[in-house]
Amino acid sequence: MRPLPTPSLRAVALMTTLPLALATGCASTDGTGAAASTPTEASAPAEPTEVGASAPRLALTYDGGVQVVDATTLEVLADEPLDGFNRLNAAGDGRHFLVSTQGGFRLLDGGAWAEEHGDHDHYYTAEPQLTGELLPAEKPGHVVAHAGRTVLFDDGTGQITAFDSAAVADPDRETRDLRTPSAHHGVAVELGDGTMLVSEGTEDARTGVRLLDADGAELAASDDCPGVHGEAVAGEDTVVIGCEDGVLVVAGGGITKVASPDAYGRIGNQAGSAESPVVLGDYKSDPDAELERPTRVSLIDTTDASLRLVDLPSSYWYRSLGRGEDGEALVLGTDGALHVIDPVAGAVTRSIPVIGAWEESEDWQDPHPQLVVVEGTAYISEPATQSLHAVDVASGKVWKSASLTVTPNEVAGVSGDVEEHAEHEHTGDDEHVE
Amino acid sequence: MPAGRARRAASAGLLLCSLAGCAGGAAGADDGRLDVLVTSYPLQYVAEQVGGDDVVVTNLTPPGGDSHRLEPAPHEVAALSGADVVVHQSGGMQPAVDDVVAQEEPEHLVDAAPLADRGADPHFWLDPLRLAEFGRTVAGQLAAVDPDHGADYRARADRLDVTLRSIDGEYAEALAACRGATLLASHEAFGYLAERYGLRQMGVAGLDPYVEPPPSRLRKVADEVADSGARTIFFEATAGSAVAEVLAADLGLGTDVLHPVERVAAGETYPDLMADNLAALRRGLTCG
Repeated sequence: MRPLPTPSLRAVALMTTLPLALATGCASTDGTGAAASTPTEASAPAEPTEVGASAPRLALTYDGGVQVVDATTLEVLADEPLDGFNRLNAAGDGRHFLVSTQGGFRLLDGGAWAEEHGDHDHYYTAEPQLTGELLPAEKPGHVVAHAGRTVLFDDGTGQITAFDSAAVADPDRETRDLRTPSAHHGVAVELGDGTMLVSEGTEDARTGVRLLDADGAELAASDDCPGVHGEAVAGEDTVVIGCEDGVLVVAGGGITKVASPDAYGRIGNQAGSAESPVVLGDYKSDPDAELERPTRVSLIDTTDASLRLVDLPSSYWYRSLGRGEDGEALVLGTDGALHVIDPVAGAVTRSIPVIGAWEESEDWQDPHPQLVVVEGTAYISEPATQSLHAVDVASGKVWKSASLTVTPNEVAGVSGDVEEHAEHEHTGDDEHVE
Repeated sequence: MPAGRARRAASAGLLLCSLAGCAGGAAGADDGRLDVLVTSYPLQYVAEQVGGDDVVVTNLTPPGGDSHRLEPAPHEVAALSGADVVVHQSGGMQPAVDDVVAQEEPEHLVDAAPLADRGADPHFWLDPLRLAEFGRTVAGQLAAVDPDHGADYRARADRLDVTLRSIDGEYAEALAACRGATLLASHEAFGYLAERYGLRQMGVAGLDPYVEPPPSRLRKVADEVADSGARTIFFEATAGSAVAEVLAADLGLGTDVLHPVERVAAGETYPDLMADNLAALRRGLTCG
């Protein structure tokens, strides 16, 4: 990972090798070599500080801006003004966030990263900041980071942009660009073997997926996925795509339909884990509901393409899903508890009271409690009390809580570490789009 | 230093300067002493000990600076090409400097890389005998460039050898009863030291001496160190009291400091830091 999004000095040094003998004549006369410049660079990042261990970071949006929080101390490290309703995604490099905002995906530097140093890593922190980097999009939609690649979907144009996650801050990053035949609220995932799974549909009807090879040629397709929405990766490279009547399991170049037990059994938001072949999904069964408050979740076992439902003690909403470090399925309930589900047994093993009871609002853009998991810690925001809680999933303990000065809306997390290429802790994201 | 600044300095130089011999800006080159440019503290220590008054040693990494991240400014690149002798350790510890050294091809380069033969671990100097060997290499190169003082360089290398052998003797004696003990290091920099004195280095990832670790990280550490018999985690800096308390309470582990002697503050020296390290090892290792 590059430490700074600025052109490398090394490159400068090499480019100018020949003339340098000339250049330094004056450098040595004043003893500094930099007399010709003044330190007025507008956005020159502060010098990084080396720290003893990786420093995970959270970002949260509020009405008027975005804050970056130290995930270990829960201290607010930066507060950047940003108008509008903004959405947050981890960028996939362990350091940055992509903020879906007016005009595209804006890069937010979480300010913590690792640099590989032989057989171990060194860790650095710097001041988090909204960078000037904007990846333009008419209607910035899903961001999916998997296997070291980040894929952006522009709902306004159907444009798909994929690049190495580690190059997210590099304006000269190499991109792989595709466009779906029709613009729609879509999603795309690039798999470890370079194939690309792309949703298919129009603004009016989303119908299925296509699996494309590196040259864009179709390897497989399915139109058996009405209302296609959301993705999650199970284990290494198995993708589960949500439909209004089940899911599609994409593995080894093939696509398998897994039906819901109900004719309308909508799965649209999923959470996968590298530690588990079972994907956690939401589950809605009332096609006529304006606002269904589901109390069941789905568990999709990708090893045998089976699907089962688990009853919960409470309802939940689309940002309630997550996975623990050992693959536990996590659901933040409207009863204020974090429900821990054994994905193999299909049973709730523990309900951890964390926040007060809450209710899903008619307007999905209203601040709601959110769940994001980083390194085995479940972070839960509570807009009603302007607070943030850190729950150790394995022990069931709330180990830290903090007050915020703003009402948190969306929350996302990054590890501050070199991302293993097996990073699958992204959820299927939302069903909502403007 | 921000890249933009360096670039501007370089382009300004292009316009204003001539080739006249100020490129070697590291030191006054006309006093008959050799200009020796080094790229990190351990190399500086050796160059100064061996070179004595016959050389002027300039370290590209300022005191306390982060040697890994060092990106030479243009005037430093020129200093590299203008120095009489460059003492560097290639192999990725300072990638930006590696590139510049490869590009500039200093006329006389002493590369410490062959001494760092334990995989990717660069910290060979933590084995005093390896550092002594490097002292002899440096003396040989200085003598080749400056034959008039060849005997002086060799004599100083011998003196350095005595100093380093004395440090080695103290370690060997003090740690004789600790052979096989596990050295828990938050930064795995002590492989050469461990190898020399029969210790087993084990890296403990995820702990910052200043940040109280979350339960998930404590659990990982507990899993890692179980059965190791170790009772101390060695950090590069003194652990904060909150961190020390939680490690003691939850894992029964003490904390102490081992210095990698890679970046040193003004006034710190290799022999002093090695003595401190030995004292810490005696306090913290589980010895028979």
